[in-house]
Amino acid sequence: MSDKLSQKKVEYIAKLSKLENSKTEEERFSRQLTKIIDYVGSLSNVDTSEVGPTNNTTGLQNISRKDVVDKSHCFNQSESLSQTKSKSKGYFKVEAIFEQKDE
Amino acid sequence: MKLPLDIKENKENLIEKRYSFTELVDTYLKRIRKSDKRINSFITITEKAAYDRVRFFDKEIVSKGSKIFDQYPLAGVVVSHKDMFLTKGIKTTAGSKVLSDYIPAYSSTVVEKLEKAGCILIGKTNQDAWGHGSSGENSDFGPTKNPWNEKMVSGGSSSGSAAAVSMQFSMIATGTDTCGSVRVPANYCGIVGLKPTYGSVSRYGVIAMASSLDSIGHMAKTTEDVESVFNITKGVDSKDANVSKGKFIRENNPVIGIPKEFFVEGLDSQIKDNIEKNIKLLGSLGYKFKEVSLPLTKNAISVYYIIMPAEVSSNLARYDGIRYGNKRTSFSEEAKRRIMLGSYVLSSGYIDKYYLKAAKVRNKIIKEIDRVFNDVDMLIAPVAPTTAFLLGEKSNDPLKMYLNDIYAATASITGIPAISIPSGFTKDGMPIGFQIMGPRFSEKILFDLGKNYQENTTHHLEVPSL
Repeated sequence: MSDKLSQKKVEYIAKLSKLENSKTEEERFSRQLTKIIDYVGSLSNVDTSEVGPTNNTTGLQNISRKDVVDKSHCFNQSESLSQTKSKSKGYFKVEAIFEQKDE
Repeated sequence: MKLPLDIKENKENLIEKRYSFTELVDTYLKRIRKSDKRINSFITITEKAAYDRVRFFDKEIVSKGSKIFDQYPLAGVVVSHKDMFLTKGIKTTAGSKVLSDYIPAYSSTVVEKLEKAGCILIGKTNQDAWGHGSSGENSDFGPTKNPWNEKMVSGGSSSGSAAAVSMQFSMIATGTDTCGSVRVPANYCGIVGLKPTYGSVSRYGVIAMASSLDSIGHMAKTTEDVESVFNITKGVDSKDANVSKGKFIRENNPVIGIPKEFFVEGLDSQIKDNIEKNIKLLGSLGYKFKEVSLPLTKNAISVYYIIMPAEVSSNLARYDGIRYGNKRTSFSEEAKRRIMLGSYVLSSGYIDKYYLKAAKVRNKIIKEIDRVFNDVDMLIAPVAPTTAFLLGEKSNDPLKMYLNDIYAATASITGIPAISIPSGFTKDGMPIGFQIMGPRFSEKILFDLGKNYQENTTHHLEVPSL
């Protein structure tokens, strides 16, 4: 029943996670993650037929506030750009997502 | 000068002019300079900010005398913040190379509240990168060593905070506890560590790890100080909608449950003996004990290692190296492991089997814990299966490292408060402690027990040698 995280699967989830691994890392992660998944997979032995999922421990719900801008935690342009390593004319500079194809 | 033990003694000394605010900071910095190369508890030391602040207080106390404590109840309390807490204008790394040069443009609510209350920031502390770790060894800036024996880990992930308080590099420290990250290092370093009720302290401006679990925590040598700090930091914050002000009705003669599942195989015998001895001591102070059973809690650690990586993979997705910080290639091994584990348990074909299953078992454990508090008022438990272990002992086996959080997981996934209190030393001189958990928002009864215990014991007065 256990799910093996093959190196190929590790390569796939790394892609989903925008991470890069060397071949040695892929081999190591495959071994380690399989062992971890095997351990936590023991939850399949717990009967949960009569209970729903939750991530809420305090029961808090629907917290709202007036729809007004609170300037005490807004950044101005220079604050927003203060930490970037790549900017141009007051904008963040990012790598191109679409490339022009020359016909 | 001799450093004060706690906030109360410090206040008296400052009012009586036994030392100035500046002399106080001089003394802490001297200790840091002498020994922190060895311990590695700080990533950044904020000397200039600290001196600017104490110069102000030295002037204030001349003109206003003891009245300054009305406005600044924690005036002169030297604090260090885990590097997970954003500090405006001061480098904040989360222990990771991804943020090696990140200077926040704002401070977290907790940092602001403590500053407003008069605390003096002395430095930002070392930690497992992103809060990922139980030993402090996953810091990208080198591990924090245990103040009681440098060959041992300090515990993590709030490793530097615990070591700094233990070494008297600062009087109090902040930490974050997602699954033991305040309690375990506090325990390994012989100080008090509080993980409050989930949602009782604002997390605004604190780097997120796993949002349904992350709690802000506090560390000090005494329970009384942890309580004073918590009373400042807790409470509703318009910048964090997750904070609530819960109600708790106090019982007069608290009964403490001993969960039988927590004292079986896998627990170090010196810890077991120590806790049994302390149950007798607490008994002589009027606390009643009762054995209880929590059969589902054995699954808490598995629930945690599914839910947490799932939330980590989502929270760490924001680090794109575009707006701030470095590229994702700067993530080190443990963060990568958790991000990938999270992506896996959330991926198509596996989400039902792992993530949703864990969220259901979590619900069952919450119900089991809520039920036990109909029967008893608090629970006593170990903090970790062993005392501090050797550096490198578990670092090649992630699963083995993960199981170190086994006693921390119950309070984390159910959102209840827990406090770890130093309760002695092993034959080799390493600190031992125990953990007390209570119903949501019952911090007051945990503090009362901790204060009562510490009034009758002296373990917390021991200081490791410089």
